[in-house]
Amino acid sequence: MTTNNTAAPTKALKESDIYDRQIRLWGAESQAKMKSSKVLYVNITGTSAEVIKNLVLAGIAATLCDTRPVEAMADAPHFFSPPKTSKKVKYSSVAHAVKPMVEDLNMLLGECPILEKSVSNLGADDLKDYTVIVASQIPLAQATRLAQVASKLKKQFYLADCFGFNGAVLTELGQDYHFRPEQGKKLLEPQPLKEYLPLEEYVKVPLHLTVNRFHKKPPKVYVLYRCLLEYQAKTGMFPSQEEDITIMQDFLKGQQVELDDEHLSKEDLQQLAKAGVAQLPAVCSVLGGMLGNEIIKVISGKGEPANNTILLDGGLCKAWTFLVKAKK
Amino acid sequence: MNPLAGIEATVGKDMLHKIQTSKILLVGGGGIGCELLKDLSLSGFRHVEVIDLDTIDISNLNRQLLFRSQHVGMPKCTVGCQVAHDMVPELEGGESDNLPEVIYKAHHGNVCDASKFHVPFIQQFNLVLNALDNVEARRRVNRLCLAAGVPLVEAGTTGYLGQVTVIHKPSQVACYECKTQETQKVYPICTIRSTPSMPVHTIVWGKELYKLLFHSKEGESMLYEDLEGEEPSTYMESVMKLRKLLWDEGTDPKAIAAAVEEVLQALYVTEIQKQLDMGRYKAAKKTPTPLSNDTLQKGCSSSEDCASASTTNIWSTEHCVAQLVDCVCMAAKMPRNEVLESFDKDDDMAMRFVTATSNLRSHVFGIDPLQSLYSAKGIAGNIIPAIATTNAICAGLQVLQCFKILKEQILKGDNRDGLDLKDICKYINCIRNNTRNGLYITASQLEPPNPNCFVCKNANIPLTLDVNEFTLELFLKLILKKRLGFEEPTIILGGDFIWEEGDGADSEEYESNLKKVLSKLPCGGIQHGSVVEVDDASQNLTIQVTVTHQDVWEGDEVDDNPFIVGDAPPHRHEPPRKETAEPPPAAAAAKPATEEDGDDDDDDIIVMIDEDEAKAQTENGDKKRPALDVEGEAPAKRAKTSHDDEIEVIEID
Ligand SMILES: [Zn+2]
Repeated sequence: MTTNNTAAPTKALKESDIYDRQIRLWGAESQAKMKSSKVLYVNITGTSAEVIKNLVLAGIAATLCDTRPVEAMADAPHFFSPPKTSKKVKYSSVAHAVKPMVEDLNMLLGECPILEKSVSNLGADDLKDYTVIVASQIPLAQATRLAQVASKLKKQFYLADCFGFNGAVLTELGQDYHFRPEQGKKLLEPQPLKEYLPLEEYVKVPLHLTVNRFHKKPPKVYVLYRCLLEYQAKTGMFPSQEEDITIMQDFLKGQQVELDDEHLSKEDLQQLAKAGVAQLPAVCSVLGGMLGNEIIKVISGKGEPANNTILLDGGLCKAWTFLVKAKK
Repeated sequence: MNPLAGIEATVGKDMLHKIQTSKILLVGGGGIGCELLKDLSLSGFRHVEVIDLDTIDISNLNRQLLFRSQHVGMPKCTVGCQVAHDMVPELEGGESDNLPEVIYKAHHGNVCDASKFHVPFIQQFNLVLNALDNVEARRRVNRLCLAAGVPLVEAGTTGYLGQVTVIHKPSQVACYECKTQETQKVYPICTIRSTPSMPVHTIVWGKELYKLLFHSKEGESMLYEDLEGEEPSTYMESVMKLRKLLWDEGTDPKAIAAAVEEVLQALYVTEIQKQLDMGRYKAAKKTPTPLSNDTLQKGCSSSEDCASASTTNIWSTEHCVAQLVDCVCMAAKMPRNEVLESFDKDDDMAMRFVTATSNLRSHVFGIDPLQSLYSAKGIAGNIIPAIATTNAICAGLQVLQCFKILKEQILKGDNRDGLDLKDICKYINCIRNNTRNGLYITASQLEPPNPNCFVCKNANIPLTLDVNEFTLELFLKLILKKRLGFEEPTIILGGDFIWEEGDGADSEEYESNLKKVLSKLPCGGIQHGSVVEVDDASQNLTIQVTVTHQDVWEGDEVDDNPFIVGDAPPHRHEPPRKETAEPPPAAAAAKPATEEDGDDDDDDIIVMIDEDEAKAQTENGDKKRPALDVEGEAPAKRAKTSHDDEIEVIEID
C-alpha cells in the first residue's frame, strides 16, 4: 500500500518504470523524441481531449490554446472537464479550466502552458515551438491558413472533429515530409509520401470528384464533415438543433453531389443539422486513439502515416484513410 | 445546459433513457477497463459494476488514465469506480428525478470465484464488457455469459493491435472458445535441461535454477535431482552444499562466494563436459563449449558494482559470473523469509540472477542473441506492450457495440432469447498498417459457432436439482450416464478433479466422494450457480453444466422444466436417496489397468507452456481469435507430464 508521505512516491517516479510498456513497443529512441516534442491544441473539444489524454499519458507535453468561455464545454463533457467538486471555481476560459486536469494526468510533464491567443491571431511565431498542431471545431478558413503556416515551418497540422457517430481528420503533413516505413520489426529508409497534396488544395477538390476505386461515391463521412464546415463558414457557428438544411443542400448542389436514399439522404442532413458537432465519448475515444497513433508515428518517425484524411464511421465501426484528390 | 444534449440529439430520447437505466458489468479495470469506465460514465451510464482482482502498479500509469501515482497499491476497481462515478455528467433541475441513482460498484475479487460471480449474478445485467488480460478469466466470463444468455462484448489489445467481438449464445455466433484451441508453444523438459536453442529456453532454465537455490522445497525446481537417485547431475552436490550454507547463521561470506563458484563450475563446466564426453551432442548441429576457468575466476574475484550495472547493455561473461556471486551473497545476508522462493520479474535480485544465469548458458550453448536485463525481463515476465491509444480505440468500439445491443434490447423488450445480434453486431479489428483499401478499423460479420465447440455448441446444460439431496454417485449415474450418455466422465470443479474413471484413471482416489452430496464435495462443492465441467475422453465429449439449486418443487413445474435433461427429474416425493441402495457404477469399481510401468531411465517430459509465444501467434495468426491482451504476465509453468523418450538432438529451427 502507499505511504501517507506524498513526497516519497512522487520522487520515486521513474520514467523508465512509468513508460515501460510502451518503450517495449516503440523503443527508447522514440520515447526520447516524444519527450522533446510538444503539441499545441487549438480548442479543446471532446475529440481533442482524447488526443491530449493519449499523448500526455505517453509523455508528450501539451500546450493549450482555447480562449472560449467555459460554457463551451457544458454540452459536451470530456475527460478533462473540471470535476463537480470544483464547480465553484470560475475559470476565465476553456484552456484555464482544462489545464489543472492535464497537469494532474502526468506529473512527469510539469506545467501545461496556455497560449493566450484567439485562433485567428495565431501565426508563425506561435507555431514554431511545436512539433504538431491539433485543431478542433475551428473554421475551415482558419484551418487552411494554419496548415499553410505549419507547412512552411515543417510542422504537422491536423484538423480533427467528431460529430455524432462520425469523425474526420484533415491532415497537413508538409511538402518535405519523410517517413520510415516499417517492415515487421525492421525500419526502412526514409521516403516521401507517395502523393502529397497540401490541405488548402485538397479541400478545394469538388466533392463529386473525391472518389476512387474503393469508393465509387464520395465518402459520406467526408461529405457530411464538409457540410458542417460549410454551415460554420456561412453562419459563424456549428449547427445545433437546427432544422433548416438549405445551406447544406445548396453547398452539395454546388459540389455536384446528389442526395439519394441509399448513400446520402436528406434525413442524413437533417440529423447532421440537429446533432451538429455532438461529441459522443465512444466516437471521440476511437478517433482520438487513431489520431494519437498518427502523431506518435510523426514524432517517432516510424511507420507510414495516414494521407490525407482519416474518416470514421462509428455506426459501421469502420475507419479508413482516404486520399482526397480530383479523380482524373 | 443539458450535458447530455448532444448524445440525446445523436442517439435519440429512448436510447438515452436506455443508457441511463441499463446495468452494465465490466470485468477488468486495467488498460481497456479504464477507457471503458471513462466512455461509459461520460455517456451517462448510471449503473456500472466492475470486477477486478488487481492493485495499481507504477507501470500502469502510462495508459490507465483513472489512476495517479498516489493510487499505486490500491485496488483498481475501487479507484476506477470512484473516479468514473464523479465523471457521470450531472443533470440539472428535475431531469434526474425519475432516473436511477448513479452507482459505480467495485467488486475486488477474481471473476473465477464461483461463490460470488455465477449465472444468476450475470443475469442482473443488460450486458457484460470484458477488459481482461488472461485466458482463464475470459473463458470463465465467456461460459457464464453463454449460460446466462447475456451479451458479452469482448476485447483485447497487444501493442498497436486490437480486436472487439460480441458473444451471445441465442444469436448463434461464435463464442470465445470456438476458436481458442490452446495451441501454445511447448518445450519438452529436456530442451530446457539439456538442449536449449533459443534465449527463452535459457531464461526458463534460469528461473528454475533460481528456485533450485532459493525455494524452501528444492524439489519444486525441475532441475532438482535426488542425490540418492541414479546418476544425479554433477551440479546437485554443490547446489545442496550451497543451499545449506545459505541458510546457516553466521556463514562466512567468503565461504558462500566459494560455494557459488563451485556451483557455477559444476553447471557451466563440469556438467557440460560430462555430457560432451557421453556423446550427447554428437548429432547436434551446435555443440556447447564449457565456460573457461579463466572467465569463472575473473568473474568471481571481480569487484564491480553489480547492483547498479546497466540494464540495457549486454553484460560480459565475467560480469555475469560476478552478478551471480553478488546475488547469492546478497540473498545470504537477507532474512530467509525475505528472499523470494520463485522468480519474480519485479524483484531486482531475481532479475539480475536470471539475466546472468541465462546469458552464461546462452554463451555456453552458442545461442543468440544475448539479453540485456531489460530485454530478459520482457521474456521472463511475459511482458506484453500496451499503449493508451489502442486501448482507447477498442474501448470506444466496445461501447459502440453496446449501443447496438441496447438498441436491440429496446426493440425486443425483456425477451432475452428473442435478441438476435448476428447481423447487428460486428467483429472489429484494429490494425497498425492499413489494408489495401485504406482501412485501419475493419468490421466484419460475426462468425457462426464452431459446431465442434464444446463450450457453446449444444454442450452447455443448465441443470436444476437439489444439491443437498443428490450424491455424486447419483449425479454420475442418473444425470451423466443415463441422461447424457457419458461413458467415462471426469468431473472438474473449479479447476480440480473430483471424479475420474476409465482407462488410466485413479478412481480409488475419488471413491470417497461418491457418497457425498453435491454441495459437500471438495473444492467448495457444487452449489447454486456452480459451473461443473464434465469430460469424457472416450467420446471426445466435454460439457459445462450450470447448476441451479432448487429444493421445493411444484407439481407440474417438474414436467415442464426444460432445465432437467431427460424424463424423470428428482422429485421431493421420490427422494433420490432411494437409489443409493443400488450398486455403485460399474466402471468406478474397476481398478485402473496399470498404475505404473515401473521405473525406467526415461525422463518425465514436462511440457513447459510458453504464453509469450502463444501471444505472438495470436498477433500474427488467426485474425478471428481475440488477442490475449495487455499485461498478461503469466510465467511459464508445468502443464502436464507424460512419459516419452529423451530427445537426443538439439532442435534448431
Ligand atoms: Zn463456442
